[in-house]
Order: sequence, then C-alpha cells, then structure tokens
Amino acid sequence: MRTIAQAARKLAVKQQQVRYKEQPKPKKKLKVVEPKRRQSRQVLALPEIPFPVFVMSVTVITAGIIINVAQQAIISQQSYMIESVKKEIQVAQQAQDNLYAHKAILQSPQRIESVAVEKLSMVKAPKVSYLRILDDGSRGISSTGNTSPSMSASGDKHYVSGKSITKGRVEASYGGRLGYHALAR
Amino acid sequence: MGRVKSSTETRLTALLVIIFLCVVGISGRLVFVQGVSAAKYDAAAEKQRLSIVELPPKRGTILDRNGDELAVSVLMDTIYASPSLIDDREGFAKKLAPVLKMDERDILKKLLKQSGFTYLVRKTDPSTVKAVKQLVKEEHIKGIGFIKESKRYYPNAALGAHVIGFAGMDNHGLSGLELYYDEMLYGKPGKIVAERDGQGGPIPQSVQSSRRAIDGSNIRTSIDKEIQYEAELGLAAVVKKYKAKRGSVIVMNPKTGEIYAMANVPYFNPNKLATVNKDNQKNTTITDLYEPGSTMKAIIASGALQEGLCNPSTPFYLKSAIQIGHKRIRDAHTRPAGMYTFSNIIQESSNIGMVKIGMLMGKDKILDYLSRFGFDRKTGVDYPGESRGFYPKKENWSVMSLANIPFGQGICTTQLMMVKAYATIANDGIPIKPHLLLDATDQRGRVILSAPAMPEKQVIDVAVCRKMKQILEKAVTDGTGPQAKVAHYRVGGKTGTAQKAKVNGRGYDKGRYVASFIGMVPIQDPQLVISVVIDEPRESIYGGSVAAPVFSKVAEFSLRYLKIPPE
Repeated sequence: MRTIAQAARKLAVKQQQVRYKEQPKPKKKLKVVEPKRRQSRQVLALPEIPFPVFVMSVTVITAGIIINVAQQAIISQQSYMIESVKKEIQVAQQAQDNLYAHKAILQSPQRIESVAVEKLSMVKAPKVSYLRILDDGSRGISSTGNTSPSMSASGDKHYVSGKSITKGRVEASYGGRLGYHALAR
Repeated sequence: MGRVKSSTETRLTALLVIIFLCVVGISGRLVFVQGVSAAKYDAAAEKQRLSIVELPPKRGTILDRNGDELAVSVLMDTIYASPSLIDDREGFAKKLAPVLKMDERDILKKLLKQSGFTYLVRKTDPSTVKAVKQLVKEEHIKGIGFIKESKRYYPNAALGAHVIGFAGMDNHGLSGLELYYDEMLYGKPGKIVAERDGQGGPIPQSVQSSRRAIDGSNIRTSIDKEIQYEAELGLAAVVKKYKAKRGSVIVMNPKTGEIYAMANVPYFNPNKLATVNKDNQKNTTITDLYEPGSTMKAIIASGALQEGLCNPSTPFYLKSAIQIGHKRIRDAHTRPAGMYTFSNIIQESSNIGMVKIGMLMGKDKILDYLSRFGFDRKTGVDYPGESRGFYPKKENWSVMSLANIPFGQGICTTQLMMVKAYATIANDGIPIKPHLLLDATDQRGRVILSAPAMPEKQVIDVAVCRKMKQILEKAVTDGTGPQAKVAHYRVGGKTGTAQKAKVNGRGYDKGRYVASFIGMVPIQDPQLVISVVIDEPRESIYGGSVAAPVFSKVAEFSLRYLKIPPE
C-alpha cells in the first residue's frame, strides 16, 4: 500500500523529469581528449668499453697528469737553479768590479810614486840620456856625450830598471813609468 | 574603500619612482665608473695590485787612453731604518751618531719621520757598516736594514778629477765627462712587474713582465794617466812655490786634437765631495775666460805674415813707450829704443811692436784672423759648460782696441782656445777640433762610437806656419822663454804676462797677473802643444819664469813617455 506521501513523491519526480525534458539540451563544447601517453624515457645506451681499454685509458691519463706535475716540478727546480746561478754571476761580477777598482788603485801613479820613494828608496833620474843606434846596429854616442851605462844596444828590447821598452832608431833612457832609478843606500 | 585604494596606489607610485631613480643613479654611476673614468680606475687598480721594481743599470767605466780605469762602479752598503719598529729612537740616535760620524740631531730627525722607511746613510764604507751591524747586534735594535747600491768610485782619487767630473747619489753624472756622456754611461734601467698580495708581498709566479737593465757603455778618453799625473805634479809644485791662486795645464796632440792631459790646481777628490769647495771643482781651462796677454802676439803676427804685411826681418823702430789716446803703453821687459825686426818683436814680447803691427793690419784684418783662429766661437770640445771667447764687435772698437788686442788685452779667451790656435800653427795652418773621447764600447766590447780627428778648413799657409815656428823657437832660445827649453829637443813657444782686470771698476789691477806659456815640441814636427797658465802668482809674475818651467817639465816627461825621439 502506497501512502499518499509516496504517491506525492513519485509525482514530484515525474514532474521534475518532465521539466528536465522540456529544457534545451546544451551543445557539447568540450571534447574528450585522450591523455597522451607518456613517452617512456630512453636510457642512453653507452657503448660497452672493454675493461682493458678502460684501464689503459685511465693509466694514460694518470701518467699524463703525473708527467705534467713532474715537468712543472722540474721547471720550478730549474728556475730556482737559474736564479741561483744568476745570483752567483752577480756576486762574481761584483767581485770582478771590486777587483778592477782595486787594480786601478794599485796602478795609480800616486801609489806607485809613494811606494817607489818611501818603500824602495828610489829617486827621480837626475838627467835623461839618449842613445843613438847606428844603422849597422852598433851603439853610438849618446846625445849627452856619454854612452848610456844603463842600456843594452843588442836585441830588440832595452831593459832599464827591470822595465822593457821597444827598440827604435833613437831611444830615451827610461827608468820605469815614472822615470825613477834605484838609489843605493 | 576608495580612499584606502588611492593611498596605496600613491605609495606604490612613490616607491616605483624611488626605485627608478635609484636604478638611474646606479646606472649613471656605472657608466661613469666603467665608461668615463675606466682608464683612471683601471690604472688605480693596477697600481694597487701590481708591484713595479726598477732594476738600475750598472754605470759604464771611464778609461784612460791605455785602458786604465779612471772611474768605476762598485757596490756599497746603504743603511736604512724603519722608524716605526725602533722603540728608543733618541737613545739609538745617540749611540749611532759617533759610529756614522753624523750629528745626533740629524739622525734623530730621520728616525722621527712618520714613514716606514728612511735612509740613514747611503753608499757608505764597509767599516762603518760593520760597526753599525755590531751596534745593532749588541743593543738588539729592530728596524735597521742594509742594502747594496752601486756607487761611483774614482780609484785615482784627485787625478784628472776636473776632466772626469763626478756622478751623484742617483748615479747620474753631475759634471765633467760624467755629465757630458751621462746618457751613454748610465745605460737603460730594467723593470719587473709582478702582482702583490694584500700585505704588499709578491705573489710567486706572478711576474707579468720583466725587462733586463742594459748596462752603460764604457768610454775611453784621450787622457793619459801618466802625463796627467806629471802635469798635476809639476803644476802643484809651481802653484805652491809662487803661492798662486790656481793653475792649469793642457797637453794636446796638434795633429789629432786628442787631449792627453788637462790639469787644474787646486784639485779635489771626487770620492769625498762633501768636503770639497765648489769653486775648486771647475775645469777652468774650458769654462773660465782670461786675457791671454802676450801669447796672443803669435796669432796676430801670423795674420800679418799671411797678409804679406811683414816678414820675419821687417824692421820696426820702437821707442820705450807709445802714447795711444790718453794711455801710455810700455813693454813688460824694459829695453832700449831702437830698430827691431818683426821676429825680435815676438822674441822680446814687445807690446809697442805689436801695437805697430796691429796698426799696420787694421781692425778688419785683426778681426778676420781672430775669427779664423776660432776666437769668436767655442772650440766644440766634448765637455759641458764651455765658454765662448769675447772681444769687442767691429762697431765697438776704439783706438785702444786696435792697440791692445794685438798684445792680448781687451780680449778674453779660454785656455783651450789658445791651445787650439797654437795647434793650428803647429799643424801647418789646419785647425783641429780638440776632443776628450777616443771611443765608446758597449758591455760586449763592440765599439759604438769613435771620435776620429776632425780637421777644419786651412786658415793660414804652410809657409807662414813654418816662419812662425822659427820665430817661436827663437822666442825660447833667444827670447823671453829660455826656461821652457827641453834638453835634446827643439821647442817653440811664447810667454805671456797679463794684468788682470779689476773686479769692480775699469782698468787693471797692478798686483794681480796671469803668467802663461804656450809652446809646441818638437818644433820641426810638433807632436805636442802644451799650455800652462798660473793665476795670480806672487814673488815672480812672468810667464817666462813661472809657467815656462812647468812646460819644460811636462814636455820632457811626455816626450820620453810617448817615445818621441829627439832630433
């Protein structure tokens, strides 16, 4: 037995259905799109390296690195050596310069004169004698009228007080660079 | 609601404007820094980042003509201080003063400087350095350091100092050949550019560029050390004997222009410049003018011979005095009035005779010969500060000029000019440029510069020169210069005794003279021209007695030393 309420409800549903049917049907705007299938990621397939080749490669690279490091070390070492040699050259040059200066001091006429006078007791030659060498090579008379006792006419050089001078047609008596003769005390 | 919205928008707009202005400002600054001032900031950054070390070159050596060292560079110690590291500056200055032989206040002044570095003493001797090191060690003083610096050293001390000159603390030449050939001697400094860290220290392996220093060239001068020494020795003895103010000697080869010696007394030691009177540093033979006196007579006489106005035997009647304008001219050596030949006038050094010869020549010819012998210009010697000769211009000549210039008054020359003029006579009328440099070599020994003889245009005939040489020889044998004789050699020359002009006012001082002698030897083929000038001698004033003996001594040694045979 249906109750009134049930009947009323049934009626209401029917009315709703009728109302629904009377309304215009909306146009379909949306499409149903099938979702794209996800492309499966392609894993790069590395070529297979044979193990010995791999080991060789690693060895070569490692050796290269070691050689490079060694080269750098050698270069640095050589650089230090070059610097060291340069310093040695500099020191040697300084020593050479100082020796030149010292030599110049020893050669200075003031020093030679002071040594000649004070240490060796030498005096300046009182007079200068000249010896004429004749064409036949014999010793002639000096221009002062005396033969020079301190000179030898033979040979290519004359020696006076231990110093030598080149022979010429006419030579001056020469008592060392500053003209000193030894004085016997 | 509307009011709230309006306020927010205003704030946002203001913020936007501020941001915009900021962006504009920053962009502007960016353009200014990166564009307009890029170079400036780049340089500033580089300066901050890079350390530039200058490598000083080694200064070249100066040698004499035989290769003996006259000036060398040696390394010396320099003592410096870092004042900020020294605790007791006053105490240290007190202890250091006697060691450095300096005034305590001067040392303290240096130590009180607001600086990280100050020189205490530069290029000092090893004994001082040793003493300072000892003091620093004993007193445990921090902030004292030692570095090596190149210093010019003159091993022969005063020998040839006026010619060689000297170099300063920075190793640049200040006088003499050191100054004249400074560019060649100094070399070119090197440079190392490297990066430095925040503390200013160098970063290893960061050298960006480096340029080696090029050492200076060595120069070989025409100076002969032995002749120079003999000249200085002889000169010093005469200056001392006659209590003269100063003296100078030039020894030159008239054929090549090479100067063998150029001596000045008083001399100075360039190794101790601090104690030297600056007046004594002058090479007066080149820089100072003097009235040559009677030595000028040979020049004017050569002109008279060249013009054919006289010959050696032309007679002149000479009184004991001659009136020119308001001035009475006499001879320095009294002699009786009478007939004298042209040759006698030179031999006896007669002023009156020269006035007559001058009158005969006239001012045009005198001026012509002064110019021919080079008195109107510099000799061109390779030495700084050479003076130009001086005599009145043609329009300024008076009767007195015509009278006194022929005997060497009213004309100023340098000693070297006179030597050049006499060398012209010695060299058969061909003037030769005097010079001090023989050659220059670089550090590898390659010759980079040489100075050959530079003869000029012939100014008088050979025959005139021969006649003049004969007259000059007689001036020595029979005239005023017998003390210039050199045993076994024929010498020609002329004495000169010139009054000195008053320092203030016109006229001449009666008590101040210049005694001189210029000669050539051997006269038959002159190899040497030697000039001796003694300034303000006392007791004796004559060139024949004061200067001629120095000539004789220097000539005798030089002839023997150079192995020039006697006739």
